[in-house]
Amino acid sequence: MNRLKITGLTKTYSNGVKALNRISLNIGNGMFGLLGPNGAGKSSLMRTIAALQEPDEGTVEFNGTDIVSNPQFIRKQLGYLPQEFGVYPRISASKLLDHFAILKGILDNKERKHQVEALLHQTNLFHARKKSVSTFSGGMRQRFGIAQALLGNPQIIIVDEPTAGLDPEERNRFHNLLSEIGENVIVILSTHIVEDVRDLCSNMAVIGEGRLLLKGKPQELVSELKGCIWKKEIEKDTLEAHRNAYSVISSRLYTGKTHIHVFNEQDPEQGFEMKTPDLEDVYFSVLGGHLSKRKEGALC
Amino acid sequence: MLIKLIKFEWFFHSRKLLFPLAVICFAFFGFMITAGGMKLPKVNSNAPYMISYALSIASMGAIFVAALFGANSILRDWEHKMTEMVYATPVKKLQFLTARFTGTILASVLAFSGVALGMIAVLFTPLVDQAQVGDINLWHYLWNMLVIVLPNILVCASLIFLIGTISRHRISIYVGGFAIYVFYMAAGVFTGAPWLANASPASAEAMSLAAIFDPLGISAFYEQTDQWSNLQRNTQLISLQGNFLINRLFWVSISFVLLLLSYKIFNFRTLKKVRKKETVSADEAVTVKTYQPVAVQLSDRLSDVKSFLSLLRIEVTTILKSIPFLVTMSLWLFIIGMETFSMATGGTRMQGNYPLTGFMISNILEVFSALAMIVIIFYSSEQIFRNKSVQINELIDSSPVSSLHLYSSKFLALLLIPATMILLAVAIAVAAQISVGYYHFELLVYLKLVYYAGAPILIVVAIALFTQSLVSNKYVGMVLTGIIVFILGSQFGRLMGLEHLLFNIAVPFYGISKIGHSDFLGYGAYATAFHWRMIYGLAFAAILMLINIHIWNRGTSVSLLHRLKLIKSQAGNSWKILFGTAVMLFIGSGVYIFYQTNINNDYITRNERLDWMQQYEEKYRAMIDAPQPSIADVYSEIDLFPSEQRYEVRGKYLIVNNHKNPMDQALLSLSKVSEFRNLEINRAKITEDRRFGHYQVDFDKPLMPGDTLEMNFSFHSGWSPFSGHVPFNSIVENGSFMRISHYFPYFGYNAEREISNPDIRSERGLVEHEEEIKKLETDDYADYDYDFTNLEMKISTAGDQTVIFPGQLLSTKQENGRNHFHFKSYRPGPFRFAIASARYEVQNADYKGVAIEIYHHSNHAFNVDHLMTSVKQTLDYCTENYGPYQYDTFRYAEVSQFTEGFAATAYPHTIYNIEDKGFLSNQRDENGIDIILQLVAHEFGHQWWAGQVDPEYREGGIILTESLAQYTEIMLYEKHMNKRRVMDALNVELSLYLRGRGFEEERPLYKAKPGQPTIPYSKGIKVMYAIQDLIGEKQLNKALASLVENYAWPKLPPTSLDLLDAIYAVSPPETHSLIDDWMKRIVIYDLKTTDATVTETSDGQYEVTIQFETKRYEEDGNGVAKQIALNEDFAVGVFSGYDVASEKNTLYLEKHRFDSDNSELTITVNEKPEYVAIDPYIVMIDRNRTDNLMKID
Repeated sequence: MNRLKITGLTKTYSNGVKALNRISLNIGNGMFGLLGPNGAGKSSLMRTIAALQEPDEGTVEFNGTDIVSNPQFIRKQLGYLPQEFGVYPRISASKLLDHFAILKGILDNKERKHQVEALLHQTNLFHARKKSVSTFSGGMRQRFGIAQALLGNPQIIIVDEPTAGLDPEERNRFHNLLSEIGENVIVILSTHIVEDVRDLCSNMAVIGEGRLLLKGKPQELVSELKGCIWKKEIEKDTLEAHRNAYSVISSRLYTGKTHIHVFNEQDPEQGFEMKTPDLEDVYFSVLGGHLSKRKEGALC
Repeated sequence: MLIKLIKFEWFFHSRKLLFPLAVICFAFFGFMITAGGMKLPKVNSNAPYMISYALSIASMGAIFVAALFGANSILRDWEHKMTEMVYATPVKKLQFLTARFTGTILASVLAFSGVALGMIAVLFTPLVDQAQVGDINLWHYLWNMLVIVLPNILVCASLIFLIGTISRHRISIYVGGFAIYVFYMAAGVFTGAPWLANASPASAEAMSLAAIFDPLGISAFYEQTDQWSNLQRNTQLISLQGNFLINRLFWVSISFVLLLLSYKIFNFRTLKKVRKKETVSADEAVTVKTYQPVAVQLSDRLSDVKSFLSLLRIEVTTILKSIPFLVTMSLWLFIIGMETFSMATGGTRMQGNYPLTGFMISNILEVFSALAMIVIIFYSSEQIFRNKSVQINELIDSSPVSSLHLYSSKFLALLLIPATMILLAVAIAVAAQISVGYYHFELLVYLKLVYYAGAPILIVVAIALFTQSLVSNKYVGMVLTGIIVFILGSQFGRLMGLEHLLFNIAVPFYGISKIGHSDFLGYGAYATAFHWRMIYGLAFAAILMLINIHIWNRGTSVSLLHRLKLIKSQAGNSWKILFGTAVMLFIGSGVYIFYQTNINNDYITRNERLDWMQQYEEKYRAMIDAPQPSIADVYSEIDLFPSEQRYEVRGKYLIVNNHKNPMDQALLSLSKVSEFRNLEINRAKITEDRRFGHYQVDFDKPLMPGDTLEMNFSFHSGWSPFSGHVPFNSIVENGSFMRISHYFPYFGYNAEREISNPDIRSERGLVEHEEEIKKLETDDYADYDYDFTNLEMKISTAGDQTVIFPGQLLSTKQENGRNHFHFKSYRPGPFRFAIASARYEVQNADYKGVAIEIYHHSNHAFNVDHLMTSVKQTLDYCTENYGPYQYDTFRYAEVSQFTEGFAATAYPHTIYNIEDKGFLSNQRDENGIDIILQLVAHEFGHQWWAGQVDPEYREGGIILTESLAQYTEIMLYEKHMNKRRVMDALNVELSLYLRGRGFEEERPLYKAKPGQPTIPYSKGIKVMYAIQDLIGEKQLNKALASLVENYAWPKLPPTSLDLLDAIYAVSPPETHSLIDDWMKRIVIYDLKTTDATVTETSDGQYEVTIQFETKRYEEDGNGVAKQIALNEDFAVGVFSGYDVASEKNTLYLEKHRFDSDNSELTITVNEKPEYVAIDPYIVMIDRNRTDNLMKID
């Protein structure tokens, strides 16, 4: 069982942005979803875990070793896919993957070849293995990134927005692969797509503006919200009035009509219907600040 | 719309860091070039001439600003993937490009104006002598910006734009910019551009060609101002006329053509071509493998090698495949090829030396360092920031590969660049050697190159990588690295005051020791100093490398402090041991260097030296005229220890009071490079002033006129490679030459120790001394005494070396493994003697009773036969025409290039010649300059002109030695060479004269002084040749022979007036006024053929009618010329071909009398004429010699 223990992590960038604000997490094997809007600090957190930046305060321990003072410890067991990455021009996918495999320490030529090919298959890049990665489309490049993150025998895999740019089929394929691997290692998946977390993660956290807003198991979080989410179809021009009157957590257009979800501990009446909460409602409730006063275990 | 676009461009450029950075750099340049750059005495620091000079030199940097701004302008859409957004706007192509280009020009010009700002700012600092600052006139700056800088930036920017539109690649633009710069420099070197230091004088034709085609107009500026007087330099602006105007117009139009081309090529809104899809190979029957985690091995050694190699392969391929690398290497090939080949084959007129491997490596070393350094600065930043710029950094940095491998793969890959450069250079050098049929390749010497070039650049790589890994911004890193590397690794740091060797960590060999690789001893003791410096520098590099491995930036924002903290916890034992060793080596070698520089030798900075000189002058100048005893006899025993760079002297003087009054005291002095062991004068008390090496001698009782005293002394002298040698005191392993009389004790104040540079003098508040030279008219010959000395020397040296000394060799012996020589002077002579000692081969000849001996290095036999012939020819000419040779021996000895300051130097019956200035000359081109005959004729001529006729040090005295030796040289040339070569030689002198004056008040030839060497040498040879042309060689030589007969020692010496009298005595009276014009005035001619027509006569002959314009001017010495009447003969020639020196082409050649500005002549010739000329051989001092010859239409 691997264990990643993050305590009081704080990071302020030189431009004054407080990217991480006293974040503490304790993560074990399995998929861990990190939800948050753009700019919430997800990438900062992941880079800190990958020892690519050092925190101002707080510690990150992996299997009991402080990785801030011993970054090499986590590098040896890490698979990392950053949100954005590029590659050297004019180097083919299989060559580049081979290069990464060597850097990761797969020295046996046969084993390396086998794993590289397997990953190329798994990420559906085998046919393009001789093409230069720099000419890949966004989706192909993303798959290449996934492949390199899985090289070797990573005990902790950090993937930052991995499915951006993937088509549904590939996304599925990737999810299957991840959940398969995620049984025995830690997989931290950052995303702003709630579905991904719902489908895959046994644990999750929501962060916003550098703070940890919520953590827990998705099903539990959803069930805690039961009876608190109400929905209504309204005219577009009354949206503002509704916002003023209720805790609107989300609104969306559906066949030209505006559907809103509100957070309310009692039935707000006025044509609202109760809705079975889902993870998205949890997410938006947290972001809307409606769950901030909650006490452990009792939501409404 | 356009205005708004341009405004935005300006906003874009000015807000970028680059802009203020460029302004600062340029301001710094302007500041430095005025504070420390070229200075002309009596020309203000802010004279219009100096402004033009500084701005035009600085505009060589225009290409770099243009490249930087231009790249930002033209590439930013592509680079930032903004193209589609920009192209989606309604902007038109013309507007778009105009705005971008104008923005570039605006930003470049404004950034460049920093130069002017710096130049103005420096005027208010004490770095500039306030007496040399004129009124500040902004118009002067503005005008020069307008006519010099703006067109230059236009040219550069339009070129950059073209490169940018074609390549769409930032690096290609930089490389292109750099290439243009290099081509420019190269073209300059190749054509002998005037802005290069030590450029040999170009012919007027070449100059006017360069003036038109020099893209930066620098040559045109030089051409226009070449012969300006100080008055003009101070007041006159460069004017838009002549070739300067043509040049500016030409290049501005070229830049418009380039822009038009860019406009045509520029792809605006054309759709991207869809790449043809690669056919996907039909899936081979592959078994789909499933993913399984694979155990990784991270601690064993195999991993070390494999990951390192994999990284290295990537680094190396990226460099090898990168266009800039290929371009840089081709450029290097080009530069080194040109340098090497032009060295091997000689220039156009000057004959080159044989391509000895030593020359080759010196040649390579001189260009290598600066270029390699620039390439390293560029590539180190490229390689370090490459992962970041392709955004693969997070993948690599988070992988478990060790930082050691990341670092060392980059380090080695970077080293690959200089290694390739060295390899290519050696290949080129060998090719050049083969091309001239020289097959003596010295592998060991080439191996030396690897070390001498490689070690400093290795240190540079370490420094560059270290500096760049401290910063997170690529450009900041590049600039910072540039500054640090140039301070620690080039002469730049030394110029800024970091003169101590301990600061010159990566300074290449040539940054400190300006010595060629000599066949006599390689780099001699300087090699030892270099080894120590390299131990010190490499230890420093090792320290940086060891730290660098640990502070390697892995990640996006890991602070340096944090990385440094990690060293403690992560460094292993072997690291600690290595680090400790490196630190100890660094400190140890540093201490040794410090000991050698500061304790074993007197370390002295430039400023301290100037202080010393100033204090010396202030303390002792009062004694300049105090009568001093003369040295009548010298006896001394000298032990040379060549391999220890030192010698010991024990000696005895017989001193005598040659004055009319009794002498109470005397001032005895010893050079700074000698040190007394013992000093005694009978019946005298000696008080020492150690600081200045002066000794006050108080005689117990006054030394009466004619009285003599004995002085006994012993001293030692030598040098250390850590402080450098004095070129005239080159006691070295092999090939020593010491003008050793300089280092013997002497009497009196030494004016040579004063600060001579007038600017420094006035900065330090020292009054300017007129060069102390006796007036020509002074009539005090009754008192004159030659103060000659008898010499007797016993000299010992290493057992395998021979000593050459100007005296009769009485005996030699070998004792205790050392060679001993006993010399005695044939007759008294000036207190001036020199010693050479080397392992020699000798060629002997007995010619007309003179034993001729030529001593040379065993590999340098190339020209010995030719030397021998030249000696015989000169001996013949001089004895026939001037009088008998005084000795029965003549020695011609080669010395190593550690001696500098002359090509050859003459002593009684002895000439010393530096190896690379004659012995190695490759006399292949029979139409080139025969440097051997020139040297021999000139120096051997001194056996009469100085050796026999030894004039007093007074005005005009120098023409009796130098002008007459020059005359001997040209007459030998005339006798043994063809007309063309005589013409070439004289034209070089003419250019030297016309260009060399104008810096201070010019004296007429008969009052020439040594401080203005172009007068006695270059004008002297022209005038003597012209007199010979006027009255005939026989007559002139008769006059010279009478000079020897009437004035040679021990008779009283002649003055220049006596020379004139001797010439008058043999020439028709009507020529005297013309001779006076040449000798006593400054007269310049301007002869011109203005028109020529030809008609064929009925009898098959040709009648040529020629129009001439003949003017002459008298100058006042300060450049103010006024036309004066003329009435004299000039040769007029009609030729059937361009080469007027060819006899075959000469149809007609006669002298005609000219007495008005314009005249016409009609000449009939038998053959069809093509060319006509007045004074075709340019005998006169003609300010424009290109218009004498004219082609008949």
